[in-house]
Amino acid sequence: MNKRIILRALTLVVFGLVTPMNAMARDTTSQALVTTPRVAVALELDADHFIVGQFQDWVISVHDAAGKAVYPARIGLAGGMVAHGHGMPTQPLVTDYLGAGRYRVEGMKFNMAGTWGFVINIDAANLRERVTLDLLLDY
Amino acid sequence: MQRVVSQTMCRWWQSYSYQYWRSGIGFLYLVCALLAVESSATESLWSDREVRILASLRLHKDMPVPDSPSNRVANSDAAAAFGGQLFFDKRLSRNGAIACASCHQPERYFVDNLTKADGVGANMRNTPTIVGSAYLSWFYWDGRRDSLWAQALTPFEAPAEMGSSRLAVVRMIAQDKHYRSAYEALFGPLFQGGIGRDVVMSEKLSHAGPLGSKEDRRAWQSFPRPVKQAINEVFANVGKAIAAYERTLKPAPTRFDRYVETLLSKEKRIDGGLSNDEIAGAKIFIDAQRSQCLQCHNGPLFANGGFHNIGTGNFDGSELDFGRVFGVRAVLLDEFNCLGRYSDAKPTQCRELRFLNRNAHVPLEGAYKVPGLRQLSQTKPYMHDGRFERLEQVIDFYRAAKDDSANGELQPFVISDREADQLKAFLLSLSDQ
Repeated sequence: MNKRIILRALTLVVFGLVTPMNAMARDTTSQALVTTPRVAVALELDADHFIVGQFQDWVISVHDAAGKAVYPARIGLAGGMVAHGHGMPTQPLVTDYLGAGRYRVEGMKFNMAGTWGFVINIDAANLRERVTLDLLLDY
Repeated sequence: MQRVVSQTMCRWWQSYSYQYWRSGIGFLYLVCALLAVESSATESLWSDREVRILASLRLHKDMPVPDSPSNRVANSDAAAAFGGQLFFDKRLSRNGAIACASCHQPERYFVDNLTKADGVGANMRNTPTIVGSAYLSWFYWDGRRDSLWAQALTPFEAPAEMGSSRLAVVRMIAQDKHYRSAYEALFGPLFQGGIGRDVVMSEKLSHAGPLGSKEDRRAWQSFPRPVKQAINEVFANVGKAIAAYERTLKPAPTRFDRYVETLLSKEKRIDGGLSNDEIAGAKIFIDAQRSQCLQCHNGPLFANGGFHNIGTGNFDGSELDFGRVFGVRAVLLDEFNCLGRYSDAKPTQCRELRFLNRNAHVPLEGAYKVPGLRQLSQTKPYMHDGRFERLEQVIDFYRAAKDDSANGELQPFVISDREADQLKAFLLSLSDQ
């Protein structure tokens, strides 16, 4: 099962948290695209690898209000659990541009279930935007 | 109990209201019928979500050990055999009295049961177990090493642990016929090109290393760089052999694991294995509305491998200990880290270091690595500084947490004395074989 998901809402609920040694994967739901008047940011992730304790890659796609791919751009991503007062255990980085406004993000890792908040900074020519995304990781 | 009462009342009301189906109150029959469907689905002791959580905590007998790309002999039986001998060899300490196994004692689940480790000198922190350490990414309470082999090297030169030096360790390998043979079978000839041979074999210097006493450091600085690198290479390989041995120390499934296996294999079948108190304790443990246990103590080791601040840092007094905040810096400076010249990994394989969160922000001050919760009955005392002798004290520590910054990430945890006992009972179900 190699389903890919595109998030189409501000809040994403992902079921199926599994640990590295746990084979109990479940399907994931997906619905979201974070939009502002100037930019649309979509998050793709591999559902089967969205698990606690393991590294995973994400793809962030960025398009402007006219639907044009935003490239080149500097994409920054930070996250953490506000309720618990800690950041991410890792510092994810954009490591590749995949074309069509899609950027590969490596180094994502979660060490617990709960609501994770993300801030995505987009810095491109004539476009500087910050979007936020909450993601609930649950069993 | 409440559910049983409501189900009984519903059944009574169903039989009663059915007679009045044609009258206005008959709809209540329908309501109860729907409730009955719901309750039969959740009638078992555990909800589907709870079962998923329990499954995520169970230990598989054949749980695969993660790769260790920085150590090319990590999975070698010969390296594990060689490393096992080194692990128990007291000659590798400065005073000939301390081995790795002096603190990591096999008969005590590889801890020493002391408040703080007692090596060549007195140490500041409690000895953690090394059982299951192959599944971890960070080592020491502050994560200042990023592999088992890099960790295994550190005590040799730590003044209060084994107090020796890399020169002395390498000399032992070179002079002990059996060790030399085992080493060369794994890693090739010592002193390739003759580099370092004279320094190691001459015995003019007893000790030399970059981390020891002033004399040790001065001696080390007198060596040309190729000699230092030749000695470091052998020293690193010693660590890799010890790591290969430590990777064989895997936790064994317990009564809890067998209970969960039964639960999973027979579709929520409840047939004993855990007492009512242990089950009640497990429910508290996994209930995020009631406790935060599962946040950090998750996965089969009951440890998320991360660093969290629960307000146990020592920020004043004689034993200052800031935890992870310095561990982050130390691991980046360690010449034996995954990205260093003695690592066997490609840089892209060093993901923990590449994506290390270097932001030494305030929550990392006083943050320590989350310890696992398996075999707690054997691993007292608890916490990074061994401050608690009994599990009850640990649970009471969490119960006393206030909603303020002094507790770091902790939030209030309200349970009764009876529930605290149940929680303890559950934790001890992870200690049986």
